[in-house]
Amino acid sequence: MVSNKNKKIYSSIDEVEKDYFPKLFDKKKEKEKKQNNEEERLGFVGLFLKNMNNKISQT
Amino acid sequence: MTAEITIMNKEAIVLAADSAVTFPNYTGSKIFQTANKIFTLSKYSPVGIMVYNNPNFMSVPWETIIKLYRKKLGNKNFPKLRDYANDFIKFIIKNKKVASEHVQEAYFINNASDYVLGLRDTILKVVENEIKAKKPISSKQIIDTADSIIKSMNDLWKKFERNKFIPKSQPSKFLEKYSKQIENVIDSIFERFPLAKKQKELIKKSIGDLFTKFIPGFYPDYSGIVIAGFGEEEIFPSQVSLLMVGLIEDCLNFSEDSRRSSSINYELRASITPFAQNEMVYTFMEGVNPSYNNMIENDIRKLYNKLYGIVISNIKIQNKKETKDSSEKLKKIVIKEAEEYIDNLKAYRRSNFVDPIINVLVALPKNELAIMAETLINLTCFKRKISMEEETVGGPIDVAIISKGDGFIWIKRKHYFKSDLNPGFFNNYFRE
Repeated sequence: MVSNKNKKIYSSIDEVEKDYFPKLFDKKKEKEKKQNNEEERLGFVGLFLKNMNNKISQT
Repeated sequence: MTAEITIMNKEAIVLAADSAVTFPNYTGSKIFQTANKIFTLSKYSPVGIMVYNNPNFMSVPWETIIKLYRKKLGNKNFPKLRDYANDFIKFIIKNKKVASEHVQEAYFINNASDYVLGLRDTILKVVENEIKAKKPISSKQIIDTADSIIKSMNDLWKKFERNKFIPKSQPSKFLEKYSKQIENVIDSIFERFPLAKKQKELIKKSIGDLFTKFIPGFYPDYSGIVIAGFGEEEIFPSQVSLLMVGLIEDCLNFSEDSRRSSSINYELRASITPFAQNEMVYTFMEGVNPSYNNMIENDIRKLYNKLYGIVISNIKIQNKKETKDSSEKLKKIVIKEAEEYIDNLKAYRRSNFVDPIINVLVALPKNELAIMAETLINLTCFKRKISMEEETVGGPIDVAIISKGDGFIWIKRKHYFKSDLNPGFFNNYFRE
């Protein structure tokens, strides 16, 4: 990134959001973190079962 | 969601509706099969009303609003059906019970926020696409992108007329009233983004337009209202279809769906109009599923365009000007041929599928009209039942016939109570 503010160059949408929409950026990261935590908590088998449950009809 | 239909000929108009109502929530959606969607608009005159899409207006159930209006209307009647529609609109605007100050403010802030969020997300999406497509992007380019999106949205609004029921003093009056709230909405959504004063003004102007003009497809939570029947002076039935959005101060944002408003006369002798989920009725009438038909029409255009490309790439003309002229001429011919072919398909469907049904409808007795309306709604319910989609159409089907002489007659009507347990309801029905 070039530091001059008016000529700043952005190479990812994350950089744009971080600079112009910091709250939106934080929320997005928080959401991603939550999702990663859930995946970590469930583990491979847990995730597999969760996905399977979504596909199996239940009464 | 809903499946509703009106069928009319010179004798009567039939209204039919399913009973499904869907409540979306975070885990999916809950569907009840007990909603009422057809009502009498007057207890004394042959006029009915049907509701689809959003069952509430400004958080008040349409059923309540309709019954309040019916009470106010009493035994008054109007020469034309359209007069009932206009009177109903005026009632909504004037009746303070329909939209309290608190609900109006919530409606304003929610919709203004959604609009500004939509702008911000569009800007981010365009910027993201730019980055993904080719190269890094500068701050100036981002600001220019935002500027062009804000201007384009403003230009889009300019193309639409203000609603005729909205006073000239609006929207500036309510924009001034809610100026602080608008500032807060823009500032909280655009955060650190360097919006110029001019851009902010354009956004505010668009917000004003959002509540005083109507762009089809812009309001997913609109309510569809169909007023049907006979005015005192009318001998043939007609229907007025309205799309209602919301009310702020004296600005009722709505539009008439002119494609679905019609009157029977000596030229238009019968009509079938589906509302909300209409693909099965379309298939029955036109002989082809609407999405399949769209696909065919688009593919025809693409195919002709492809053929044009192949021909052009294989023509060898030395003179550049001549090549350009021929290419443009050929393109016009190809577009015309493709559209002609699509029109031929439409004409075939019209003469082989639509017209034969309409010709029968013209002479169909009113009880047969009711059977037809119910069957078409049933067909939509059945299709939903045997598909893996949610059953957003279903439950008992209510059917009513409105004729000049007999007035509003229920053919099928579900009641949430037993009539023998509630004689008071029937005794009080005509007591104003």
